[in-house]
Amino acid sequence: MKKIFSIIFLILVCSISFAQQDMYSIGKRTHANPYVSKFEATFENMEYILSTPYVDTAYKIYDYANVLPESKRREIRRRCQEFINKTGLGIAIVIVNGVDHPTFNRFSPQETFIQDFYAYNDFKRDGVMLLLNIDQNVRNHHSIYDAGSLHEWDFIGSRLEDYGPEMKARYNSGNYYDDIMWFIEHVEEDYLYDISFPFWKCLIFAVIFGLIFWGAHLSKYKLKQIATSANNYKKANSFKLTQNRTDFVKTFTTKTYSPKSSGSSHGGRGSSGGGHSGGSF
Amino acid sequence: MDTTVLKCPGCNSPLPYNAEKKLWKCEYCGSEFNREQILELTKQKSDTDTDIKKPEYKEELETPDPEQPELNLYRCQNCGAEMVADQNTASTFCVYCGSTGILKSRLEGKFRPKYIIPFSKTKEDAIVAYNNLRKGRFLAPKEFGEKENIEKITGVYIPFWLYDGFSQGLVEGERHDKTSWRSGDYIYTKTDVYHELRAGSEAFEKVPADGSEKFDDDLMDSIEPFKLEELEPFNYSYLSGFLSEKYDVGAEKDQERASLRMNNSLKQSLYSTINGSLISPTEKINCTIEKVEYALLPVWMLNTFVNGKAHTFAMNGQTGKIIGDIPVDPKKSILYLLFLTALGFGIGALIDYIFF
Repeated sequence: MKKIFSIIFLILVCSISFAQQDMYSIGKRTHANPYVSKFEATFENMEYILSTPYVDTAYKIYDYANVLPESKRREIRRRCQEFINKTGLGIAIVIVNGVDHPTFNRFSPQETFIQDFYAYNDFKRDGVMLLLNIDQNVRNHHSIYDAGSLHEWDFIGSRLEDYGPEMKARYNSGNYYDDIMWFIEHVEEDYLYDISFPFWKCLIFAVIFGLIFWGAHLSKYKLKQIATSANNYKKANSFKLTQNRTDFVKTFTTKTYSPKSSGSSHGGRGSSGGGHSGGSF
Repeated sequence: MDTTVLKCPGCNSPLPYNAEKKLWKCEYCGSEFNREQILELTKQKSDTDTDIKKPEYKEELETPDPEQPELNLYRCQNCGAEMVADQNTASTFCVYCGSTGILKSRLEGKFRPKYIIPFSKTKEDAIVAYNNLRKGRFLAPKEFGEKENIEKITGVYIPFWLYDGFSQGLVEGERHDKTSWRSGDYIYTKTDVYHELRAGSEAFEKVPADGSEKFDDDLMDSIEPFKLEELEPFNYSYLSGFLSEKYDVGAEKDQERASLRMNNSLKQSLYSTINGSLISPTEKINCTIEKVEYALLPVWMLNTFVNGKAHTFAMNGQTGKIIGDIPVDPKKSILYLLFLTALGFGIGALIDYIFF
């Protein structure tokens, strides 16, 4: 009898666990229907596609390790939506307890998984993803992925030195919720600073600045010049002004419309292309 | 044809002019002679020297190509070796004994200069000036400015025409005097129109123009000004130790350049009396040349090779002003442009951060 209860208990635990995993899923990928929209399914990437869960992007937080209570997940989801509204980017937060995913090139299974998870689900083309791996056996508990134009700017890559040590320290404190919220907060802040930065204006200023000073310096190398005046050979006090007339001719006034207030515009950046990249630490 | 060599009366060695000491110094026995002593010496020599009047031989080298310059053979009076010079050379060096051979016949008659400015700057001064050109010019190739890359450095007396004359004429045109103010969303501009007329004349003394095709006009113009108050009556002795040329561009041909310079100076003087600038001005300026004199002026010519390419520099042998186009290393130049652009970007970002 005791054994029967034990078996029933195990079945229940497993069911709950699978139910937790399945709650994000909106379909099972097959060769015939791999459910990919941003990339074309080919023979080469099919293995990766089939190994990647097909999830509902509305969740935004995918807690496969089941470490956060529903209230916290709801709060993270709300914050993610706020992030999307402010930045126009896509975002996904995934928590796993170990990763079983095929590797690609030099990337670890964890890095390949994070890239594939974002790429083969219907998240926005430009966006970020954070993966927390709570498996005690792995060295890197965080991976960050930037997609689309963010990757082209090297958005995450250029900030790894800032994000890495901070997130590592936070992970060691064991507060995953704060860890995730810190990440969203900083990505949002940094991205909004980047897009408000007048890149093109600065670039035009820089090119003009560079050319002026470059040209001015180069003029120091050309010393030869043809003499056009004889000022050094004037006979002293020989200049005689025989006529010196200034006659008033006419006067006229013009007016030009020029409103006092004028609008200002901020420079922005376009986005193009897509790509896979990851930062792990 | 033989040459004349200025020799030390003590040891009969060549006696070059020493620009630093402003006297003639024998390099062998160390005897020094001032201007008066040299004048006396050359007077005695010309009384007894018949070599110039009776040339032993003159042989024209074969010049099959008519575009090639005519070359003549001369005999060095110091060692008897043969020297080659083109038709405009007035003094040259013997490649065997190093003494200066002065071809007096090249500086006789209409080719005899009235004035000369002796060298005040030495060969060493020219090398130092060349080395100093590198200062503040970090885009120059590494090899530039190094003494080892100076292929040839020669003191040359270059023929110059000195023009005395005056320019006269007028400038006239409309001058617009503008005042602006704002009223509401409009900017008003009041323009007062005046007609300006200025006429006058100005005189010039000894405006130089080089009389040699061989030397680049731009280069010779650029080493100006010469301190013409230091002009001295011409004497062959000053040529000792230096190369010299006779003119091959006539005074009439160079007159145009000198006149243009005088006219431009008068224009500047007339415009300086007008408070503002004229719109589409009319200029009527004429130049009258009253006197032309022929002088030899001192120039150090430096020929350098940097990365296999020849560069010529000229230094005013009187004032030390050195001129020439300094080569630029293309790699360094591009890197510098990129650095400035990056710096400009940083400054732009900083301005954006602080003010916007």
